[in-house]
Amino acid sequence: MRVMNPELDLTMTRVIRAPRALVWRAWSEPESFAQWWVPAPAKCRVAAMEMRAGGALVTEISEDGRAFVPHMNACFLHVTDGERIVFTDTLTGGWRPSDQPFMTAIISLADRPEGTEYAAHVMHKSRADRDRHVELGFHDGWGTVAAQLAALVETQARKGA
Amino acid sequence: MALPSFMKHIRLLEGSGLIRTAKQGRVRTCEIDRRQLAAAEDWLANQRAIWEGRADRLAQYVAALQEKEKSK
Repeated sequence: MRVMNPELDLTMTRVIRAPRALVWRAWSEPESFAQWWVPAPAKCRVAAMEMRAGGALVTEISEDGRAFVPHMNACFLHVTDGERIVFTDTLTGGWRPSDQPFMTAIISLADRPEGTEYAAHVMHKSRADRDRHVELGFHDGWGTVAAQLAALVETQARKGA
Repeated sequence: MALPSFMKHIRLLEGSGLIRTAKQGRVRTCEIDRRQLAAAEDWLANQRAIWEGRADRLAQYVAALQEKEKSK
């Protein structure tokens, strides 16, 4: 049973107007994942994405597209193809304890008449880590960066055309 | 602190929405935006903004992917 702690957890859902298989691909293919995980102009590189329990999820980030630095070093706890991904940075690949434990995230995909419901339940360790993580989360900016996002999507659309 | 560096700090704060400034004659008045400041202090809200931003970008990326599939 999952218990929500309003002090430490956040939940969010979003209906994405696309089939579940496509949303799953965007999440589970490293080159796709890298396209949306961090906001432009920062660039994301996926160093490891082993979509199975115990598999590593390692990303790197770059401000200038040249020099990449570590961003996330996490471990998948549970993966149900097309449906559910549970990962945590309290462990690294192969269930090795992490020296910077902060959160566990449960990502769920469900069919909806309009498309796919994308849900995230993120459980955080404690407020004590907040300063460190605010610093780490710095790259993720504040909410959306609409103009940059539009530019990215338009580029993608042009490539696809 | 020299005035140019001071102004650089002020512009940074203003750009991040933490303060508002208004110039009248030779005097620039700075005012703290308490809502922004409270938001900056609320780490959970910050985490939420990160995940909401990711969901936005994922949705946009999937939309582009879908267009690409259709045009094949």
